[in-house]
Amino acid sequence: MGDRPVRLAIAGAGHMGARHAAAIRTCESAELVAVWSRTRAHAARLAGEHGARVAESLSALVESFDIDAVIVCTPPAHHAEPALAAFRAGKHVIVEKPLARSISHGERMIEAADAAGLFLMTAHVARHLPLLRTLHDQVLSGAIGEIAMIHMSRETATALSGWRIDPAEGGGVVLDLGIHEFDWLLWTAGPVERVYCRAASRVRDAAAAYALTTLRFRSGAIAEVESSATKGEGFRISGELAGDAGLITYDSDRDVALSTDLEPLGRAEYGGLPTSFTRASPFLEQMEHWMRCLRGQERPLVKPSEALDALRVALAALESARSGQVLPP
Amino acid sequence: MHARSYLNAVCARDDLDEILLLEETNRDLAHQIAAQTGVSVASGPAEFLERVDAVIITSDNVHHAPLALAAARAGVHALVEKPLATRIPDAVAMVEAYRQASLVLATSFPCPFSPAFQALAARARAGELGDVLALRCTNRGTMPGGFFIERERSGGGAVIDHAVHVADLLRRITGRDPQRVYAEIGHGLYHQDWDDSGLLTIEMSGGTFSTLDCSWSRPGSFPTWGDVTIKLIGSEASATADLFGQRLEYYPAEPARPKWIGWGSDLDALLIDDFLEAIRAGRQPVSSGEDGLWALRVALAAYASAQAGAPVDVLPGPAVDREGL
Repeated sequence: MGDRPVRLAIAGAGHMGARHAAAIRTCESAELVAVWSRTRAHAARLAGEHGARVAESLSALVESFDIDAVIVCTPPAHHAEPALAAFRAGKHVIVEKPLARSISHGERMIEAADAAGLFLMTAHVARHLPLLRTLHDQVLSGAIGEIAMIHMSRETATALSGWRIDPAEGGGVVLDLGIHEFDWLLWTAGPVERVYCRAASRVRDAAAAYALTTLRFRSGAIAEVESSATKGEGFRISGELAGDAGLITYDSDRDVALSTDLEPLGRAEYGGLPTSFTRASPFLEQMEHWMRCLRGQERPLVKPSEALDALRVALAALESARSGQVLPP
Repeated sequence: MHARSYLNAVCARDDLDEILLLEETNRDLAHQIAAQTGVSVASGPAEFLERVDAVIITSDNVHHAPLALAAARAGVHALVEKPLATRIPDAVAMVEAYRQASLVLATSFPCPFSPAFQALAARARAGELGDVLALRCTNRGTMPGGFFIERERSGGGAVIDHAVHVADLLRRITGRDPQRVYAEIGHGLYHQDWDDSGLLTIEMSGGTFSTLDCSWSRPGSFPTWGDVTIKLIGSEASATADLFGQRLEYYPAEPARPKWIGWGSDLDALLIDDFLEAIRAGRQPVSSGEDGLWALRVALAAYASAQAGAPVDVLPGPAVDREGL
């Protein structure tokens, strides 16, 4: 790719597709070439907003355009098909989290990436949040000693809808929100030994809107993860880590750099993140990181096996919530 | 730990004839406290029980049952520090002895007297938040030391010390009894044989569940002793109570550490008010012996769950009268 911008295509023109398109626009090293969606009108709108072209089919997206990588933003149950098509066409893949909706899909994607010698990078954007990255660095530098007890919480006011609360297609808050904490925890506290989860739905037969997951780590540490789509307004991440040499806490509602008291401008869009008032948005940080990886300047922060491990924990939590059993990931 | 707070509360009253101390292990301390506060000291349990109508038992946890049973035999009402006992048969025997003697047996649960908690419970019970989908609670503290970390005197560690408060509050909020408990219990804060951390999932009859962190996870530098928080997720709305959230934040000059200075209601005094009123009115106290028994069941189920590596059932017990709330 040399010095020219990395040429990208987006598969799936929903909320996350639009987020990545916006990040590409502000990332000097990236360029959006083409968009494909199962709903052509969605692809046309997103492509139109960003000066990209519409691909008429998935195969056209990966074969007919001069692209380096595909960002897969379809629902998780449909990540494998575009990812495998991209690998067959020799393109790198960036995939929204969770890696897939099933372990077998995730494993096939990883095998295909390995066989083709191409990148498979998962968008665990929480690792790029300045708050959670600083927290990770503090814990790893020994600020609290050995970790003993952890709480992590992610709450959104935006009710999950569509495939996200379809128990087969999505997985409610456990898969949509909890996956961030599971990935961060595996990254920070090491492997998980067992998982227990209780969850509640607001709508009959829908996936959970609220879940409390208990994790026991191989190290002996204990964690509780709250995943909630029942917040009254806004978005909040909060928690604490207690170790044998200290306690460290965070709360995005408490730790703010700028507060305004204006009338709300409109309803928060799905998955809205708090504005962090840092140099770049986490999505731009993440995009810049991916581009450096694709240019061979950096190693991916999230290894494919790590994305699969986070998925294993999330799926164990979902199954525990269903069966009431304690499960290994 | 709470003896001084209770003593201050009873000394502040003008409706008691005599206040008497019985210090089971440390006579010098009893006389020192008596000299400071102007109360008398009894020379032994027999003389003590002869002279009083009611006793507040703040001994080592394992001595709660023998002291309370002796008091019941002597016709003396008792307010017993939590946990009510360290074994279920002891707690059942205490409840039964007081019932048969028509005496008041109260458990030292001050949290039900918190105005914030009462408002939250009233709203939840009135259905103002919709159905209770889930709760998320904490009762975290600093490591207390003393008999609390000698298992043969306390009956356990952080879990038996702290799980009982919220286990009791959950019954009051939901109007349901705990049915199943899953617990992860750890030793990672102090690396001793007593448990210093616990994360429980308590499932109530009817399907509502709550997590509860009962760890001694506040380090020595923490500005206060700990917390009791309850977050309730309703189908219509959510609410969070921070029972000791009413505070000043105080930052002294070095080298002293920052302190949180509470200005909320004196819950220990309200607890003692209720105990004395219950005796005079011949009614159940708000925090009854049965309440203490139920909370103990949850704490002991947590230890059993951690040992089994699986959720365990909380065994059913006698019906509970919760009219006092």
